[in-house]
Order: sequence, then structure tokens, then C-alpha cells
Amino acid sequence: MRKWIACLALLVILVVVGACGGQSAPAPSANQASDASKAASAPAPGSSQATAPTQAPAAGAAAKPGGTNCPTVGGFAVTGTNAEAANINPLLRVDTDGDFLTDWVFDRVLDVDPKTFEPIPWLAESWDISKDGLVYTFKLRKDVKWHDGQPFTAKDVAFTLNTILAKDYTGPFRSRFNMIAGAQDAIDGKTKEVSGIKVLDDYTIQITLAKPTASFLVTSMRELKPVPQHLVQGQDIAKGEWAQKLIGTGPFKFKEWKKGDSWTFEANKDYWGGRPCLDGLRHQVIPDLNAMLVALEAGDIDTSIVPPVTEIPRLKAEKKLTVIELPPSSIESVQFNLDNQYTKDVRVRQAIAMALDMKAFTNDVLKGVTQPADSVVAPTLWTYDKSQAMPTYDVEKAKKLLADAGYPNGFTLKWSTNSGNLFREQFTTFAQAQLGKIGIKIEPVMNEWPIFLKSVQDGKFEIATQATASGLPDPDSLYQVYKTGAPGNYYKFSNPQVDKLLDEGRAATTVEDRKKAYQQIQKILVDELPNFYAYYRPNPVVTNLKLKGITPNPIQPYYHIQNWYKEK
Amino acid sequence: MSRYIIRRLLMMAPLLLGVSLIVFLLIHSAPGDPTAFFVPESEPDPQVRAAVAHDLGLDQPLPMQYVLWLRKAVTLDFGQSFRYQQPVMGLIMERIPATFQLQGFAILLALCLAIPVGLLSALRSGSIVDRMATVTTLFGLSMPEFWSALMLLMIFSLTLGWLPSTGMGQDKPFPERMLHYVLPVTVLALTYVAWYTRFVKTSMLEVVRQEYMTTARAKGLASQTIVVRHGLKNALIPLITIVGLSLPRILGGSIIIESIFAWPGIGRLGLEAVLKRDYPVIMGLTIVTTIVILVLSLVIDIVYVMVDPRITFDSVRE
Repeated sequence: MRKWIACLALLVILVVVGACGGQSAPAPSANQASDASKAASAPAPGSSQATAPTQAPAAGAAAKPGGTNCPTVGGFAVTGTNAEAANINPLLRVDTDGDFLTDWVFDRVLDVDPKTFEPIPWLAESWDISKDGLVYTFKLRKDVKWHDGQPFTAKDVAFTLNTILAKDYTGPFRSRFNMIAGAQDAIDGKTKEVSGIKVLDDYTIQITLAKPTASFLVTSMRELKPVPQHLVQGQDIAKGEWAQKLIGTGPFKFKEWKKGDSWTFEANKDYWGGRPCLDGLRHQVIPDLNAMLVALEAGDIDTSIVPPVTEIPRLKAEKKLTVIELPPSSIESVQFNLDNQYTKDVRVRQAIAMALDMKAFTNDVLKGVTQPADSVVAPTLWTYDKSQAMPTYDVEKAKKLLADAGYPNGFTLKWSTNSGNLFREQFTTFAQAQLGKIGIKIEPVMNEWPIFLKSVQDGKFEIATQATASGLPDPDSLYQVYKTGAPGNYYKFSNPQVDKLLDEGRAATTVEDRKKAYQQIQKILVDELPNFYAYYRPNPVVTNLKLKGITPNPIQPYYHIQNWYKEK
Repeated sequence: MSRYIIRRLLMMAPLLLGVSLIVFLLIHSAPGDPTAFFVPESEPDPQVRAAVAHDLGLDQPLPMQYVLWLRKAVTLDFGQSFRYQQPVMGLIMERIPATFQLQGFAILLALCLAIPVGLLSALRSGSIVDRMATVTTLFGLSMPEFWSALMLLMIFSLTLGWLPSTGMGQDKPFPERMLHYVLPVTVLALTYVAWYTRFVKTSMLEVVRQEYMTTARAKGLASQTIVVRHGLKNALIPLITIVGLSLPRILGGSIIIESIFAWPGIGRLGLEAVLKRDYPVIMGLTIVTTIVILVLSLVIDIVYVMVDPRITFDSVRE
């Protein structure tokens, strides 16, 4: 019996760590309207870089669409993961790993510059946006071929969009495209061809929106990874023949999935951007993070984006592996249920935030592998404003705020998180000690991931701690979290001004207008504090010294995997 | 004998029905919602979730879901995995060889070590060999598997670099692939060895004191013949029971080993199904493992009768 409990506990830990790893990326939304009016007259930003896929250096290959650059050709690399993707079907992917692996086999219509988060060309080499922000015309590359040799055309893009908007679609992407004119008729099953999607010629597609949506390029089109019409049409997208073979246009071809073990890929030598440097890749599932580290150090795997974070200081010191610490992509936060009798008072929320010495936590408990968060968005995002910072540590002020709120002697709160996540468990213990000093007694509630998630989604929590949207790659992602009644607004936050600003930020057509709206939102969120953004989730990538050419960025750790090469 | 076997096989049906009903009720009363894994958690679109629930048949009333499941399960069709969108039976069959090989080799290795060591410590009770065996087995029983696994990994993969650290090596040719088995099989065997050795020793000590052993000695038989033919043969009969008792561990006992060594076996399949609320896989796996365990224990009982003339099918029946 005891053995069973130990077994289960360990495994719960492993899987939960995996589950939470999954929250940052799968479908982060965001948009970044390029300056739409400018885009209307001139080619889209970044297109100059796009048209010349030349020999840019592999490092910092930020805006080098497609073209590969291989100091050596050949070899095989193994990547390690602790959470196996449920699928790598671009229409159905639901988790982080699924999102990453689909990029190996498929291409996005467009991408974002990993530094500025502005849209840059990919399969679409340029685009044009009408002055009213409603009509998008994309010019597609003409040299792209599916893995079976058939040419990729605008019809494939239209087909993929129509599939996502079809009545019987059960994947997660519909909400990203339902602003396309006529989408609702398709969702209701009245038509199979969405009226707002028009194929002008083989390499031009025009998409008309029902209402201006500034985030359309980054939040919607960036998430679109076209599938081949000639193979998918008439098939079950989850179980049909294509879903087993996963023919795409990407730098690697899907070869095999040994469930519970590994995914194997081989180089697509006819890739439109040039042959990938490696001959093949294997994505190995290693559920135990300590075993993953042994495998890395022993050279059985080449890289992992989920190393045990507490070992990072040692790995950096030993220099036997390359450690890349990426800027944060998600922020761990203290989420308050605003229906709770205590936490509905903003003074209580501020008192709790001020009583937590986040510097001490990140330096002493987490050994300096990360830093306290200071804003509601990632510092790399273009709307980030340093002046709108989270409250800082001040116990005396916290006590005073609590007394002002009418609780000089404190009270008891339940603090929920998922068991098995090392950071969150340590943060819970830390908060328990710190909040005890201002009289707030914390009762930890630790459950495995699905149970925790459900309790949060059902609003059955007092305080929850987990990752919150960081606004990457587009601040429109705040919409899902803070709009009154939005599905991701578990805290029951409702502020008419924020609602209005979120709509403005979505509909605005210039970057300046959007920035203004989102910075005002950030100010209100700091004042109202529905969420205390506590610390950045560490984002390390560990690689052995032989694997080169890796250029991870916060939202795409396997960015431009076609440029990876093995030192001979 | 065939009547006995048929009777045992028939008795499995109500047992399986009971097991399936209990597991069905348990997983459906556990909190957590399978549809949560089909939508990004930051945007749990209720419409999509409802569509998914309908697709998975979760919108039906519970008794109906069970009846629908049962109707297919009778033909060993356990439906489609929620997570993998593939037939459950295929997923299980894909994973079963990995676990059975791991466990089979571990039990075999454990027996090869435990029988001679147990025998020696019984015959030379109190000697150095005996005392060393006692200490080692105590160590083997006390060490948590995850600890010994990580220690062996550190020594043999990291420091010495002799053995691969992860996976089954399915992409490697035959002899090289076997290197992948060494560490996981050893760790798993450690516990079994300890358990079996102590058992062989106790049982041998008992047998040595039996009157027929004295008789054999009085007849002037060579001591080797006595120990092997009369002693060991009888002492090993209870070992069959102990090996039989290890069988349920085939599913549960290797979850940790499978996780640390990235072994794609059914232990992990089951664990992940539980964590991801993949009901069809949980149900299918429960039924398949129950059948395997029942059949294996039937085989063990039959072997028992064949080995020990004192036991007959008639006596078992009563």
C-alpha cells in the first residue's frame, strides 16, 4: 500500500509538472497589428527580410524566413520532453508539445519576430490590409510543396480555414477565426464555404472580417498551419488516413510515433527554405526530470526545454552543457477569487501582495533562477510599461491595509495549487510563512492537475496560484482573462472600463492606439489587483555542446529547427 | 482437470463484471473533466467542450454509458482513447510487450539469483554467506526503487558511460538493444531477489528438518542428491505461490521504473490515462490486466497440481 502511494505520488508529480508545462504555449493568443494603415500602402513589415532568404547567420536568426544555413549537414538529434503531446495534428493540437512539434512538420501562414512580436512573412510572403482593417489579402509563396510533392496553394489555406469553421469541428481553434465574415453560418452548418474567405488565384487569398480585429494576424493567422486539401478532404481529421501520416510542408517529415516512447522525423530535403541541416530528429519522452538530466549529461539526448530548474545553477557552473535562459513567457501569479468575502476587498489583495517578499523567494528559495514579476505582461512585450509595477514588499503597509479593511487580526484563506509542481509547492509554503506575519492563516489545498483546474474553472477556490497569460505574443490574450464573463476569467473580475479598453485594443488599427488601450488596462489591473503577478516562470533550455544552431525564443523553444546542426 | 479449468474460466465473468462496474463508478466519481484536455485551458470555450463531450459520448446518462461500454467490451472492443483518438485495444497491445519483457526478465533474473543464494544461506545458516545475504536482501527490500534506479543511472550511465540511460532502444539492432534492458531489469529484480531469497531460505530450513530428509540421510544418499532431489525440489513448491503473488505487480509495480527509464509500458499508459481522465483506456486496461492476472493465477494453480502430488484438482475444488 505504501509503495502504491509512493508510486502514485511520484507519478502525479511527474505528470503534473508536465501538465503545467503545457499551459504557457499551446494557443497563446495575441495579435500585434502591425501599423495597419501603413501596411495598407506598403508591404507588410518584415517582408523585406522575407523575400531574401539568404545565408543569415544561424544565431539570432530572428527574421530569416525559411532559408537554412548549415555549417555541417547530416546527423541526428534527440530532444527530450517529460509530457507526451496528445497529438501533433495542426488542426487539433492542444498542448505545448503538440504546438511545438507541428512546427517541425507544418508551416505557419505567418510568424512573429521573436524580439518585437511583429508579424513577419512565412508561407505568406506579404499581405495587405484595407484601410478599414477588414479585408486582408495574403500573397503566398510559390515554391512550397507538400511532402508528397503536390504544390501548396491558396486553396489549401481556404480549405484549412473552412475545416476549422465547419459545424463538426471539435478542435480548439474555432474561436480564433470566428470573426471572419460569414463564419457563424458555417459554424451553424448552413454553409460549407465561409463567405469571407476568397481564393483570388492559386497564390492569393482574401479574408474579410466581420469586425476589425487588430490581433488577427498574430492571434489568428499565426496559429494557422495549413493542411493539404487533396489529402484531408472528405476524411475524418482525427482518425483518417492523413491524420496517421501527417503530410505537411515543413522542414521535417513525420515518420513514426511510438506511443509513450518517441516521435521520429526525417529531413524534408525538398524544403522550400533549403534542406534542414540534420538528417533526422527524435523527440523522446522521459517522464522523470532527474532521469532526463542524466540522459542529457550522458549524451543520450541532445537537448531539453524542461530541465530540472533547481539544477540550473550547477549546470551553468560546470559548463559541460549549454544553458540558455530565455526571457519569461509566462508569469506565476496569485489569483484572487473576487467573490470571496475577504479577497473581494482590494485592500486585502494589496496587503497580501505587499506581505510577500518575492525577492527573498526568487533568490533564496529558487536559488536565483528567476526574478519577481513587476508587471501584468512579459517584459519583452511591446505594451510593457515599467511604471505600472506590481506592489513591492512592505509588511508595515500590509498590516495597515489589513487593519483599514477591518481585519486587524487576520483570517483564514484556502490557497489552492496543483501538487507536484515544485515551484508552486515551495511558493505555497513560503506564502504560508510570510502571510502568517500579517495574521492571515493559509490553508494549502493541493490537488492533482485536473482536479485543481476544475476547481479553478468552477470558481471553487479562494486563492489559486498558477501561471497567468503574459500577453505574449499579443496583448489581446488579456481579453480571455479579464473581459467580464470571458471563459478564462475565473476570478469573476468585472470592470466596465477594462471591458471597454479590451474592445478598443481589439478594434484599434494603429499600434499607438492599441498601446494606449493596453497600458491603461495594465494600470487598472495594478490598481485593482485581481491577480498578483508574483514571479516569472524560469524558461531554460539545456543542450549538449555538440548541438549547434539553436535559436530558442520565449514562445518557440525549437525555433527554426531546420538550422540545428551537429558539430562534427 | 478440464472441468476444473472451465469452471475457473466461467467464474471470471462475474468477477470481470464486478471489477468493471467498480472501476467505472470510481473514475466517474473522481473530480476532473476529460473535455478540459481538448481546449486550451486559458480559453475553455464552453461550446467546444459541449461538442467534445457529445463526441466522446459523455453527454449520455451514466448507466447508459456503462451499458454502451459493456456491449462493446464483451467483444474486447474498448472503444477509442479520448486522448489518442485510437482504439484502446491497439494502444494496450502496443504497450504490453514492453512491460512483460521488463517484468519477465526481472523475475527470471531474480529467480536465478535467489535460488542458489537462498539455498546456501539455509545450508550454511549463520555463515558469512548467510549474513551477507541477509544484509543485502534487507538493503534490497528497503531501498525505494526510484532511489536505486537513479543511483544506478548515475553510476553506470553518467560516470562510467557503460549503459544507455533512457528508453528501450527500439531503433537499435538486437544485441545493442539489450543494453537498454540492463538497468531497469536490475532495479526491478533487486526487490524480487530480496523477497525470493528470504523465501527460499525459510522454506529450505523447514524442509531440512523434515523426516524424509533424515530418512534419505539414513539411507546413505550423497548429500548433494539429498539437497537437490529431496530438499530443493520440495522447498521450491511454495516459491511458485510467491512468484504468483508478484503477478499483480506487473501493472502497478513498474510504474516508477517505467517513468525513470522512459520505458513505454502499460504502467505509464495507465497512470497517464488516470491523470488525463482517459476513461476508455482506464477501463480497457483494468479489464485486460484483470484477465491476464486471472489467467496467470489459473496457470500457477495448474502448475501447482502438476508439481505437488499432494494437491489435486478435487482438493482445490473444495
